[in-house]
Amino acid sequence: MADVPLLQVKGLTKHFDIHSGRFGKAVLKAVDGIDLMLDHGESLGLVGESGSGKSTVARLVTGLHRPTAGEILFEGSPIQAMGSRDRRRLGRDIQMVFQDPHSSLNPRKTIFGSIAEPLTIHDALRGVRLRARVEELLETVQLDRRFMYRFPHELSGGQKQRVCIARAVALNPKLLVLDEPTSALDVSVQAQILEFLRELQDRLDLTYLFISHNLAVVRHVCSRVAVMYMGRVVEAGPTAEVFDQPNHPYTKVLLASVPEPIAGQQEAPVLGGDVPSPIALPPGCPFNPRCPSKIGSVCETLNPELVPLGNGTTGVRQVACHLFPAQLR
Amino acid sequence: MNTALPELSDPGRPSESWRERHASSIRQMRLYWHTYRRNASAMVGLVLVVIFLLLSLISPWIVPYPADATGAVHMADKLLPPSAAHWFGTDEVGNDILTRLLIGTRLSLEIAVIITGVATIVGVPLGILAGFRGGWTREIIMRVTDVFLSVPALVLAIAIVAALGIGIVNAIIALSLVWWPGYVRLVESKTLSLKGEAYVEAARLAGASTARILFSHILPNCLSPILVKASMDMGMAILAAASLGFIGLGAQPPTPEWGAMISIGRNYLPTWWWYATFPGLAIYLTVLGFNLMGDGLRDVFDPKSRGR
Amino acid sequence: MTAQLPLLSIEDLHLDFDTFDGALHVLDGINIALDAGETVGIVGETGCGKSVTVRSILRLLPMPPARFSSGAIRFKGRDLAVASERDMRRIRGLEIALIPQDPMSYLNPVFTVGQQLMDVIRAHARNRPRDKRPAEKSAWEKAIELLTQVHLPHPEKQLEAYPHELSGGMRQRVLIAMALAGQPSLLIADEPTTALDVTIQAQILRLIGDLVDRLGLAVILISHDIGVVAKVCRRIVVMYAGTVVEDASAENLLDRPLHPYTQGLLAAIPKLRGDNQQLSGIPGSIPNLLQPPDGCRFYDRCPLRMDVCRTTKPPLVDAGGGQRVACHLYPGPRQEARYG
Repeated sequence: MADVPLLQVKGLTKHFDIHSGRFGKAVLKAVDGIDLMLDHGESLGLVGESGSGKSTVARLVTGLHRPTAGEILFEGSPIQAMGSRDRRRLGRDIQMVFQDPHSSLNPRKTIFGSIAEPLTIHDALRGVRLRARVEELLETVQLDRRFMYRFPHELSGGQKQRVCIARAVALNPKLLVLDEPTSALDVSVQAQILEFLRELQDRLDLTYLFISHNLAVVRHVCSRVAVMYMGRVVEAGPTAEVFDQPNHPYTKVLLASVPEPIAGQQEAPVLGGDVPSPIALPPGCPFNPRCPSKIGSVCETLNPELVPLGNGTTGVRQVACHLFPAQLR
Repeated sequence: MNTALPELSDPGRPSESWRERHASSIRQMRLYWHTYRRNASAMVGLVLVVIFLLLSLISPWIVPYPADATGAVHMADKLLPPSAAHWFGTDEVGNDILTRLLIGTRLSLEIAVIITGVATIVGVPLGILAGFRGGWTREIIMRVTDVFLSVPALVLAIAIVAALGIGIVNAIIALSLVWWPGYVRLVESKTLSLKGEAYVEAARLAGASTARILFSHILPNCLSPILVKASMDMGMAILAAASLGFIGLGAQPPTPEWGAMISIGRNYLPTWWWYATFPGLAIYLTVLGFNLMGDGLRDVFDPKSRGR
Repeated sequence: MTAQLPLLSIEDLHLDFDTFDGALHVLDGINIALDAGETVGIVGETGCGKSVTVRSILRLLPMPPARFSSGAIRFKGRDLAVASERDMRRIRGLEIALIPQDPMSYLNPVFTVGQQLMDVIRAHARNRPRDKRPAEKSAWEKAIELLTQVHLPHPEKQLEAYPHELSGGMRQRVLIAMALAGQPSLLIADEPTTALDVTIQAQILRLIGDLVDRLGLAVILISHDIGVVAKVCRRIVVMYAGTVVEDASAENLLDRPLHPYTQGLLAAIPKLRGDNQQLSGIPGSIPNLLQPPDGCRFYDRCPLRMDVCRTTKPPLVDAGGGQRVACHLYPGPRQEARYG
């Protein structure tokens, strides 16, 4: 086990300049200074609702967006300022599986063409060797090798997602970022894909950054979780602990809002108000307008830091809330 | 689906036949063909276009009076009405109109192919570049395109021909210069929407260079609208060239271009009606054919645009 | 079961879709009944026909290529499958209203919310049998009333807003308000919260629950998410490939699922609390609807299948306690043949 975490993110920030109103320009603070850490072989879940910034984090880590501020360290080396050549080389180590399998594959390319692309670009594989590798990858994702002659529209959602996974692991990456990989799939298919992802992680020695709005799925796949709200991480820690004993008021409400297929649920408290726009973020804690446990004016003026909360049984828990001030250790 | 696979004794070497490997593409083509075939007007268009293409290919060998195509003069036979010897009659210098019409078909095809070809070769890459790059590149390309598009195409073509000099070659040049902006517009908007697709992002992640993304991902997905527009443009280009010929700026006698023929034949209406009518009919049927075919193609590629 | 007629009764409905390749047998004998004030959830995965079923209640499907090959849809005794278009216009919105899935596609972006809502109010007044046109002012008042009913804050301001200025949750509330405008007795909600965030979803589900209590509405809620349905509905119907496979109270279904498909579906859902057990999916895919199997449509994927399942369709029978199942494992009290 390496000493250096595989991925570390410090103060990561991404602001977008957008047009707002008739002539105005506004700043959309998609990600507003977050810290994350991912060790080799782990799976970290990133959960949140729309506007939380979790998808933007995925794109920042993979290099599709450049951060406005902050650092991204992969195996200790900063990547945010890398030139395009080094970035391309990083593509071998960090890959991504996207949310919608129906638009993740070029409809005009055969399955073979889609999977072969990274291999042709990076490894310059051709002919027999290329074909053999594609066959191998299809076998890894448990698809009949003859699928490679088909076009995406001939495959089901689950099959397409497997192809995307095959493409993503083609270069033997170390880190796989999965952005809602099963949200567009039926429950029974989702179950298969999730189990497959768990098993694949062991087999190929992968590390996962798993983004989802579905808390139950994250519980199933990820050993650690970070809860995001309006571009900030509000709570983090081992998944089982965070979900069974949440600390942050938002985490509590989020968990209570999930409708479970259990008979006779009691009426859970429902969070009022709307998810605010990341353009007009209120000062102070972004959750304060809706927070049922708001203390007072400190919540409205000061943005709480993410601080460690003593040692959980399996790992450090962190919370960003004035209910848990920094001095408490 | 047959899941019993033969043992892969030779990984990497395809054990399936060419036909099996391309079964999906073949099936797709057949589906396109079936959808096209059910559209009656599209089939009419196809028939017309096929006749046009055939005639332009074989015309030199089937014309009854080959010499008439290059302007032999037989004043004794001038302005004869349609008869067994001259199916479409003769013109004012005694040339067989059918012959000239058939040779004119070949000329029209050349005109259509050159104009449409140049327009796509110039317009499509510019459109893709503008859509993909955005920023200043897009601004410059689109503004230049807008300038061209704000002047009526034929008027601009006339101005160019006036500057370059009269003749069919200059007419083709002028029309080609005028035609490409339409493709830029079409392709730029399609590229903009394609740019955000997940598979383009995935390609970037796979390390694809911009060139590869443009050629391999953007362009193939732009092809359908380009093909539809190009097939309609073939007809419209012929019409435009004929229009220039009609006002005397395009083909010059004795070139047997349809528009030029009408230009002269117009003076012999209504008594010697065949002179203007048959070339006119030829233009009409050809343009109609390409338009119907283009419509049919559009319905095949984008079934949402039609009700069903 | 009271002697009263059910509010809605879908009886042995068969629906086919004519396509280029032949007729798709989309619905294969659907039997669902609903009393006044009852809440029923329909769950199923892609291709099960749940959306098609409810849209055929309102005859919102394009009737060629869709057609009813047999069966009836009785609403307050009347068969909607054969009703005239004019009669259907009196039913849609006024008796049965629909809340669709994606609020943004169902709101016209160039009109304000108020214009669209008042449009609906006026249209219903025109279509109502007893002729009563509201004046302009009372359409506005009614609109405010409806928006208040759906707990939209500052209704006067919202009426002036355009759809894109509202959040997803607010748009959905507007659509619910539109659905209530005609004072229907049956509300059909087709995946009403799928496009919404979890916390907003909880709000909307709570709202629907409140409206059911307050207005005595009957509700059919469709979702692929059994948890959503469990929150609002007393009864759950599970559909698979155009057939109803199980129909029971929420408690019975969730605690004791009888049909192998329901069992498989519940086993596939990851649990929010508790340890990481192994999830089991259901391998395979739905049968080809162009040539559906003669017997049970779940045969190919069923872990408990028997020979009889391949040849004979299982009827929907009462397996005890009001729990209905269509499976040969449960022969039911009224059955001609006996299986060893």
